[in-house]
Amino acid sequence: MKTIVGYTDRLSVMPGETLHFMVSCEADVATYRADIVRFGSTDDNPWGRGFLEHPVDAEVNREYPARRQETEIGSYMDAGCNPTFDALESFSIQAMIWPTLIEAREQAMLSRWSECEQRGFALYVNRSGELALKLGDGSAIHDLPSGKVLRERAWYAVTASFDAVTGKASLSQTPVVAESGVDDAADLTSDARLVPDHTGLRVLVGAWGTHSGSEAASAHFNGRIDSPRLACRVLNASERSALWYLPLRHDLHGSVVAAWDFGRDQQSKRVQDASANRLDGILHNLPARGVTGWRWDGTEQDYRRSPDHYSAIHFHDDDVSDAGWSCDFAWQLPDDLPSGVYAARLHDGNDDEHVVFFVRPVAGKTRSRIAFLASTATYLAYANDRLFDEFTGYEVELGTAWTFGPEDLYLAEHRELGSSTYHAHRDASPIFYSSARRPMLNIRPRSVLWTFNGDMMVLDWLEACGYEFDVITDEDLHREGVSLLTPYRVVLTGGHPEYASRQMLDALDSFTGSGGRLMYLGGNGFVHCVAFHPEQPGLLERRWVHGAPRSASLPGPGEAYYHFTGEFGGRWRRLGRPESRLTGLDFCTSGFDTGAPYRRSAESFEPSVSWVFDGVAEEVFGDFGLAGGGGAAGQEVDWHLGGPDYPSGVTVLASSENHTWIMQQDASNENLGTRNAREHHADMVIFERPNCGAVFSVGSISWPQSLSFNFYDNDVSRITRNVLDRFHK
Amino acid sequence: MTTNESKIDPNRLDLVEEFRQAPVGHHSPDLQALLRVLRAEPEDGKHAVYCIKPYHQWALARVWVKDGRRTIEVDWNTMFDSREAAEWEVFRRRWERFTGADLGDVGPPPRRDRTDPKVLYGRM
Repeated sequence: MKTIVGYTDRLSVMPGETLHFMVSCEADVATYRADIVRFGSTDDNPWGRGFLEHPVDAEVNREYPARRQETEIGSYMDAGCNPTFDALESFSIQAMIWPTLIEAREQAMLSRWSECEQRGFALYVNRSGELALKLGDGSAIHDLPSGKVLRERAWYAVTASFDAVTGKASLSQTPVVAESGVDDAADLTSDARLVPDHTGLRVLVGAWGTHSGSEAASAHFNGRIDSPRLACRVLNASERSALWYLPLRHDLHGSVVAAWDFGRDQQSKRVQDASANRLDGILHNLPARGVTGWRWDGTEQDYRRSPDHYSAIHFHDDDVSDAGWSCDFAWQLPDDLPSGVYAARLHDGNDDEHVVFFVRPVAGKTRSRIAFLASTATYLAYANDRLFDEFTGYEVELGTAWTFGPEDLYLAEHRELGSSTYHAHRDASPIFYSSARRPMLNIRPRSVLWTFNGDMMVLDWLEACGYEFDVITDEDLHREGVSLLTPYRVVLTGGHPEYASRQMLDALDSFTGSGGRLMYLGGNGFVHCVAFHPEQPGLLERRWVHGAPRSASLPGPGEAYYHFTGEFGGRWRRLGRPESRLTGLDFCTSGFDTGAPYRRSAESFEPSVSWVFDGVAEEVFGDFGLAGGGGAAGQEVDWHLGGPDYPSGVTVLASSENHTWIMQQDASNENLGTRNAREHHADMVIFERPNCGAVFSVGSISWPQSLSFNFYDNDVSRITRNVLDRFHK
Repeated sequence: MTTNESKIDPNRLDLVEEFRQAPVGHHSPDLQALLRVLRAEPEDGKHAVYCIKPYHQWALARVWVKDGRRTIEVDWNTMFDSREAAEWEVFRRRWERFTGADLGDVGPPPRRDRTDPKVLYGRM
């Protein structure tokens, strides 16, 4: 059982930089041991060298006090405890809300409340699903429920006020669109019989505070909040109506304490207060932005062009952008530390954990003309993939029984570590973001041969074959562009570089167009568009604009634009950047039962390309593989369809054959063209690019998982070696 | 137990033997149809495999659903030293769940050497 987990403050780091390690230990032990290691191989398969980690002499290698660290999940906006709020005696609060998960728990929309001390005020949804106003003075509570259950995914104007002179509290709940036969409007007043004590408390939107002086929040709201407002007196109906709109009507400035504008500066964590007080709020745990608000009417699709239509934020009680743990130790990487894939190996006496990070070379200090591009965009998109959450149905596509591991058991018990972008929030809305600042249990050695651990087969093979190489990551490429690749003659990918930002594609196009050589050793690569956060490392956005697989959710109408960058999201083919232009292949289909071998094409015997197969005796090769047994072509495969979306001069070297019925059952494949699903297969291609650039693509996720067979002495290894040796000359 | 029950012919022991010989891979159309039914086993109590040690040790598992949340229960008393044997046990238990018929003394699939290129390792 897993009892120790951790994470670093970033995935990619350079020699000379300092990396921070956060660790949580659940075992009842006093200390744990940490040691820095560099990976040779991350897998125990019996074909190659086995699991192999090289010790690194580091001053941080020692025992540390063990402690359990708590993760605060759930998003909200914090406007602080400014003295302006303390001056409030009478007040009005209002917001537009769109609840998405009515359940038997309290959810706060706008609060200045301490749950521990039971004082302050809060506009919230009560356990019965009704709007309610809560007032407390620390010894008594006045609770005013609307008595009308809110509908999920319907907009409501909600207002509340307290009159310190009369002691009256009021509440109104008004649907923006009234449904016939639905009684969900309320407008009532009561005698509060107390004066709420809210001194020194924080004003939060989307949650309330647990106790004064604490940063913690609870009662997180699931749903959208739009146009939250706070005024220092009881407003009349006319004034309340005027307050929905910005800029504020000038006669209201004297009464409005805060009017947060969720529609503007969407890329910032800071939310502007449009009132004269400038009581800006700070967003915690990255709620969803670039989402439609109560005014959205379908006439605009881009949140940047019509901020008033996108003046909502979607809060979730399971948002997590930063686990927020305290640092256990920090390590300044030595200046001469070689590039590679590293980890802090943690041991608490019960369990071993590896906190993985990637060490890239300092500019100008590359040690090889070969670079391995670690697909960190894809690792992030799949981070904490909760396969057990989509148990139903998917097994038919897998073609095998579901197989779980210790990390699945741990994730099932630790919802606070978040999910991947292949899942939905608890309220069934899509998960747009993935953060590296949390333990990611599938970016680990000995994990499933998918993404990280599958890719590390290439790293193992490079080292076993004696190649020197550097390791760089997707995010490095995104931020630095082609200059990162310029020192290299050859760039190799892993088995599944599915996700790419526009900047990554631009850099790879430029690299291969100016003499660089790309070895795409995978399948389903460069297919989907992602956006990296412009400022915070390790933060990724992904929206399933063109169809959602598995248990992922589609973004809502009008929500196709990424909030990090303003780009239209989705599949690169639909965005005018088909993967075939870079790789010479198109994603074909998937099937996870077993693989298949390749058969050489007639063209592969032409002298211009036959060198790829030097030493390969058979026309059919690669009938072995760790991925389900059976072959080097499997899991997800790409094919070459030809046409205007392909570079010229592509030679199909080999094609896989004899796939099972699992891979041939997908009749909905949008890349099928005029072909039949029975023809699904992988193609291996090679082609030249301008200025002596070249691309070699294998079109199969399983390819790297065949490299180690027979201790690296096999045809898949031989072909890969032939191409690498030729490419890096 | 479900409407799918009627789709399984408990007399088709030839399909049982076909699966036993090759739990994953090429299957006849009739076995494909059978597997589609078995794999659509109700989610609450659905059989699965737990990988204790990659490439070496597996256990039978079941998934339970309560209040919309899934939990994984590992049967530590039913362990296997090959993925093929684990796949077979899941099949056998589902067969019995759907048909009520015990497969009795039918043994696990033939054992492959761990370095066999066709050995089943995948953990997806």
